[in-house]
Amino acid sequence: MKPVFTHDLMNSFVLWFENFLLRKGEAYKTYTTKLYNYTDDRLGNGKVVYGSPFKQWVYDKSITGATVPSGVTINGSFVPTGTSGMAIDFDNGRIIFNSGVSTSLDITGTYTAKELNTYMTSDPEEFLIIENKYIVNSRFTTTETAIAPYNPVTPAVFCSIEGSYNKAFAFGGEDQTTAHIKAVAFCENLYQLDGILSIFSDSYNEIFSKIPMQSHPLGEFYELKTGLYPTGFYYSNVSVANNSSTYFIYDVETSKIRDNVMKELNPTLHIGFIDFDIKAFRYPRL
Amino acid sequence: MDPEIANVLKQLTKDPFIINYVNSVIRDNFDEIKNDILAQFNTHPVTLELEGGINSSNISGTLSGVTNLYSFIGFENGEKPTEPIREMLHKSSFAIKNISATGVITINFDIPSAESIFKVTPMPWAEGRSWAKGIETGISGLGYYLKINKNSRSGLGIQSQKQVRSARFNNTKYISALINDFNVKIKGLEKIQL
Repeated sequence: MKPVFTHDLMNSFVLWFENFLLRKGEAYKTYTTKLYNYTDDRLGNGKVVYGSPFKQWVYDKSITGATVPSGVTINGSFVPTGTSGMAIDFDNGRIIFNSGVSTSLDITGTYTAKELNTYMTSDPEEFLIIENKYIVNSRFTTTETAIAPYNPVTPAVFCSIEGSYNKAFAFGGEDQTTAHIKAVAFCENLYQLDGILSIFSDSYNEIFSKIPMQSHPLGEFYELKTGLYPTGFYYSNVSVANNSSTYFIYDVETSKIRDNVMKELNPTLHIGFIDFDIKAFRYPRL
Repeated sequence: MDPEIANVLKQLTKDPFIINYVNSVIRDNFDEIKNDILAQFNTHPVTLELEGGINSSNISGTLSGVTNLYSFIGFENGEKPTEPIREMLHKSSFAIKNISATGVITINFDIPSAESIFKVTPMPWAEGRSWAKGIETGISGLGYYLKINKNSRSGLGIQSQKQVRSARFNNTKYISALINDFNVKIKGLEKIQL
């Protein structure tokens, strides 16, 4: 199936959302840590993995102050990506080598990790809040080790599209499409929660470019698509290059779970909601 | 226009009898519209279901019969969530601002907007979110889960996670459509000739 409106919208939205949060809230931190070898059977072909304690490294070079790694230090020497098939898995915060690479290398890396990770989900919010158990990104753990891949970690924001509808807008078949996107934020403290809610309250009337699915910066192993972005991914540039078609944030509402409810849930996280109404003008029948 | 006729018209627009007459005609029409809107609100399946409280059946069809809106949204027994809306609709009013020398009457109508209603209908579990808006755009089952969780702890019955999962919400038209209809009908008063 080829990408359709919803796919492109969610791809564009999440890229914009991450950039907006990183840029407006400076919600990131740069670390230099050791990377630890572990086995990941999902990868196959004997690939060798070294993971960091933090997931979701920043890959957007347009974020001032963020360090987007182009390699790691192995046994005291800087080694760029591509060596022995080395790829940086930005989503899982790790590097992946081809088979045959030693599992006892001394690897350190300098990278910027997001303060709040971002995930796309289809789970309704009650299941995100009630049923899911999250691992916390390792910043408070006493023993530093690699964080397990794939499962979401908190603090995080989960974005999902709740639905959309079309309304006639102009002669010639132009419709106004309104999409409802909901984001549930799981924060480690009230300061962080109030911060993200405030940042996105101010996104009212923002527009963001339609960035097609195939222009997503990360590939199969969540590595940067260097063929598509040979000098790195700059959201600001990609946004300008795609601004012939845009989405408009018509309305945004933020809310927090009430204190008495939080006590009943007894969670260790602070939870809030950001509800977006996004409009696009399009010709769905052409 | 003949200056004499214009003068007579000018006098007429200041005549208390005329002003009272205009007022009563507009009031009759406005009250009719307001009562119609209130009746629409009172007989809307969502209103009826919510006013039926925790024992109501899902007559709005929003939950495919799994539970009822009152429980799903998570209201506490005794809460009257629809009252603030009814109160706002009741408070709708009008005031004659001006009758021009040519006989054109300008009236200010004070009716609630959908946004103002959303502000007085907070979710029981989340400040800043409106259950009335949620009826139109979707409501998560979090309130339902919390209610079940609370009831099971207090011995009022335990429902399985499977039942929570099956209680998915189907959006339906509610306040926005009602207020839109209110506006259209008020606009229709422009056509009145006294």
